[in-house]
Amino acid sequence: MASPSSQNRTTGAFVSRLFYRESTLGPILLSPGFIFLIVMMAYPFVYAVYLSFTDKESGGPANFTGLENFQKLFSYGPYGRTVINSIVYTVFALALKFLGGLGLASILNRPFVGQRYVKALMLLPWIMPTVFSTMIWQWILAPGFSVANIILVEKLHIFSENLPFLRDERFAMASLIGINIWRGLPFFGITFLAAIQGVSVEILEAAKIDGASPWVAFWRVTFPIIQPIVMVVVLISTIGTIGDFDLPFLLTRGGPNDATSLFSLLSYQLTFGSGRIGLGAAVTMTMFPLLTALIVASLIMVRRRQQND
Amino acid sequence: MNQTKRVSRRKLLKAAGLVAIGAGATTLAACAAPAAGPGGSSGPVVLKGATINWLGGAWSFLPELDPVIDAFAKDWGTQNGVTINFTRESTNLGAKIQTAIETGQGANIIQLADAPAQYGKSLADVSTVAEALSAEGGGYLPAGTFQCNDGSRWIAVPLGQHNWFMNYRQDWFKEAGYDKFPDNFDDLLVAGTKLKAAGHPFGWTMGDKAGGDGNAAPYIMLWAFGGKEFNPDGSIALDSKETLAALDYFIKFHKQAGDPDEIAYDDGANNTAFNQGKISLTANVNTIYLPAKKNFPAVAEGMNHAVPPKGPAGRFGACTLPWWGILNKTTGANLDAAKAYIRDFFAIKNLSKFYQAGQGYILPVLPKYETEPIWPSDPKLAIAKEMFKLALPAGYNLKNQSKLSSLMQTKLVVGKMFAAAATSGDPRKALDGALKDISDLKVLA
Repeated sequence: MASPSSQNRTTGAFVSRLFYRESTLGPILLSPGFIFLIVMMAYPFVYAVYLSFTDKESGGPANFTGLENFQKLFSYGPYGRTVINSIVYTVFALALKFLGGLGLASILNRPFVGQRYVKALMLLPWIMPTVFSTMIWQWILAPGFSVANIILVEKLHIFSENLPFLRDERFAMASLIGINIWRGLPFFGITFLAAIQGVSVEILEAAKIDGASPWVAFWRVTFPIIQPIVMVVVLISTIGTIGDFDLPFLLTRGGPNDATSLFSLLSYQLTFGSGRIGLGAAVTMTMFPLLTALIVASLIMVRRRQQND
Repeated sequence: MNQTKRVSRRKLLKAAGLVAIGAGATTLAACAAPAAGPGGSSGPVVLKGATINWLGGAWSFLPELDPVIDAFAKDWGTQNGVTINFTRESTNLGAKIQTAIETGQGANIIQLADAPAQYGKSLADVSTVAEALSAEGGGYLPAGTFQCNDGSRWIAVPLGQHNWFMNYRQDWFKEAGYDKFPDNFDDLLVAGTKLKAAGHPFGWTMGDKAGGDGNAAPYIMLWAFGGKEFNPDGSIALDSKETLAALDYFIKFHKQAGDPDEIAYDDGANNTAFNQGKISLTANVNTIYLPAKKNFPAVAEGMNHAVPPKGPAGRFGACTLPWWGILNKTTGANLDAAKAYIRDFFAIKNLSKFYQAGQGYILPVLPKYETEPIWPSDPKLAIAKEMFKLALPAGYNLKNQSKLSSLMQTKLVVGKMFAAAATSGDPRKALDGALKDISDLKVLA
């Protein structure tokens, strides 16, 4: 019979072996994160998928109804508007953040006095809590007493009458896109700057010697090199932008006339405003194929790029 | 000689029996006794140890009200041995309530102003409480019964009603030649045209951003022209020449007298615009006047309140009714405690303090309060007493508030219709848009 001390030695040796072998160490180190993801991400996701196929209402049971929720959604007027709004919002915000980010990174890549302070200041919109920054924007654009209109109309006399920032459907969407860009541009700019600064100076000098203009050198040399990082940034931002909730929720509540209703807001309103939990879950599920397609396409592009290299 | 008194077995059993009966009777008496509020007798044993979790919004427009609730809860909780926890949530209340409904945790009593019909399945029967309070106060006004009784039972108890008064700049109206507030909508339009020309437009909250004002101001106009959302049988009555007349009027009103931004106001926008001197009229409770007394004395001095003007169908006030309900997953002693707590806090002697603190912000729904000393002493708020029997909640033409009607309020369908009319200049198109919205909402009702 083994003594307790020899048993301890055996257990100790077993644990040591687990940590020593690469084949077991990896899974051990990954397991806390994996368990966290299962509990906090996979379970709610799977449960949301399940709910989207049920008639679950607040306080009631969840009965399986197949595709009925999706059928209802496609005949529900605000859903159609939400799809169009979400696409418009995501495409415009992303395109402008992308172009603005590249421009910003190019400017910041050149040395100038106070560059460090500019970089730090530039990050402010990104690090500021969204609730706080949106409240400031609400104050700037609020109908009835808009600080922006007071400056533009009463102080500077640039316009003769107030601009309908949150009153007019197109202005409201443009305001939302503008604030999203203001908030997201620093992330694009700083990430692109880091990528640009990682490009070898020798390669750029070689391009210059070969007669490439700065414009051509950027698009033919720098951009292809930073493309994988650009793809990742665009991908992350696409997911964040298409699922944006706090900005429309706090600024416009989806109005006027559902003109700024986005996927997450509609899902929230159906779930918490109307108690239709199954239908609300179905809205988020309709985002899923679109996002999956985007992610797969981006990954394929990055992989092809790596293979070509 | 020591004599030991012998106790026979029969005597012992008799004595034990009497003690048991006495103890049982005491317990029964305690259980049967009503829970006592502050100043009453001590609370029954049955409530001791119960916990009430209260969930609702903070009274952000009039913070003086929360301490009244807290003070009563503290005294009542101590006297009855009940723990009362308050969670006040502003932006995310709906989500917290749904979570409480689904999990059965986090809330027993909820306070909301949205129609309780929307939560009907999840609310406990509080008929005994509501009927007792109704008997005490002379019977609920129709608005209270309409909002909180689903036709078969009371699903909530009305806390009171917010009434929308005409808040107007009396000084500017006088400058324009009006010693009295216009009595009807036609005269109001004439006055508004003059005042807008003088740089003082009206700000009538329409649109789909203001959950409070936006569920009152549009109805004052709609009903005055004879428009209604429902027929008593539940069918939609909005598609009428009266609704079109109201929309037609608002198109003129907006163009000739209104602030262009009035169709995008949120609940705070008209307050700010009024206090900043941007508008000369708006429909609001007293939350423009009270802060103005402290922060904008010139505005407070120059303003006054009036009843809404008459239209072809008469004079209508609009109200929303905050209520307290008990989630039906509350059971046992906690349910008894929640009912007893509402019963005691809503008793006239206690709720009067709440109404008094509001100075007309929240008005009663029981007629007996008419003679109670709850009414504001400030003559500029005397309107409150005139309004409290006049106002009706959205959907009032129905027998009881329905889920469809409450969803129409959540989505601000009527306000949105008025805003669409003002934007397009086409009443028919705006009405068709509202009918389409209602048809969409039927999917959810």
